Amino acid sequence: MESLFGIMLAKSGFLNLTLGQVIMWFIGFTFIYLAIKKDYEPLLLLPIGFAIFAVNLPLTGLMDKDPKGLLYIFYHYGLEWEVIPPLIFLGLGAMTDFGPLIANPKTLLLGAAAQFGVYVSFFGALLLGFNIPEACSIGIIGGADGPTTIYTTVHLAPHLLGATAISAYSYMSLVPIIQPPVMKLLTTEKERKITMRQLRPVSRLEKILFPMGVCLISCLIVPAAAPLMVMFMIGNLFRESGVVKRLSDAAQNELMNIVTIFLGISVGATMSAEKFLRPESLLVFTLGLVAFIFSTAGGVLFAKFMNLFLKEKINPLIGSAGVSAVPMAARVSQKLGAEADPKNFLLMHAMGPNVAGVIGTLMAAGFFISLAAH
Amino acid sequence: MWEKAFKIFSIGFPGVFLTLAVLVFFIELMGKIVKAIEKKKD
Repeated sequence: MESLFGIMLAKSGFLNLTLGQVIMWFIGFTFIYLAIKKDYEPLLLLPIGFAIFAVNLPLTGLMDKDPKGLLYIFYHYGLEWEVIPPLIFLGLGAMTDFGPLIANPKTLLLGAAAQFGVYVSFFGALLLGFNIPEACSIGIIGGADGPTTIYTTVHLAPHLLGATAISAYSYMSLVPIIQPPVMKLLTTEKERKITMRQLRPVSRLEKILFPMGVCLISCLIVPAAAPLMVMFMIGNLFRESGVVKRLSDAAQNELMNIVTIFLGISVGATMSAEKFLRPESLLVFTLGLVAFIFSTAGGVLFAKFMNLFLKEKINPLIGSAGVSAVPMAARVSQKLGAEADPKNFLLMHAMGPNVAGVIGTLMAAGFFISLAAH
Repeated sequence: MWEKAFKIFSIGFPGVFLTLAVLVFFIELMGKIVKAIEKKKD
């Protein structure tokens, strides 16, 4: 009887539980708490949090490669096969209105300038001892684009996936806290009060030609960005063509929701104690924050630089929206603009650099993947 | 390693700007062509 109990105990998780796993449970519960109580990116933090908890239950074999555990199957076919991030981009494309960008195309350059933090963080990571593929994966956090961060990390440094993905999504939800001090520091009251002319209406034909043209040009210049860019632009064509409403709705809603579930679970599943509880994870979080701050600064400073040459000045606050984080970053620009002048409506103007930031981050990721791999 | 890192930076960052600058040019051009087509239709 005693030996039967002993065998049962030995086969149970109790004797195999480690301190690291318990710490990871608390990290998982913290994400669940932040999602439910604070509403921080709940669509992702909730499944990620629970997957962290689940993957750190001893002897469950959920992430075993042989025989394949359930969460490993999600991770392998979803992320390693690079299926989930492009599908997320399909949904994003179907949800994105490029009208403000087409009406004021020079704001695309703000989306490029806001990649500054990506490269600051890239060099920071190298200085801290990470190798080049790891530094690329950490740097891309500064693009404030979760799926692109995941896609780049899976390509270049899959062992850092948990840390980079969590860092990107955490800071994206903290954009309203991280960005305003940087924006205020780099702009004067007078600059924050600059009002911008109402955007011109954009024709349907322009909106239909846009995804095809952008896809053609960007994939010719950076073929490595094609998987994400192609899906992004197909989704947008679904939306703008107006003839496949069912597909557009499916991409925006049902498909996006399903893929988001598997994305969250797959990312959380990579965060086992032995992989996550390392000093590198802390460094990734620090460098991610640095990347966000410098990307914000890059966008704002470049808007000021553009104003040196423009007859019609742009409000530099919209520069910070060049980090992706759609539409949170644009809302922050609107909020700060309205604080300086309550009659100033910057939201639509900020949406231009905001969606340009998504394209800019995709390009930066494409360059990283093509250059770091060789 | 540093040589490769600087190569990645010196191609990547200007590359992002260049790509988006080409897109600016494309959108401006597209806007003008569409405007001309719509004017002709009217």
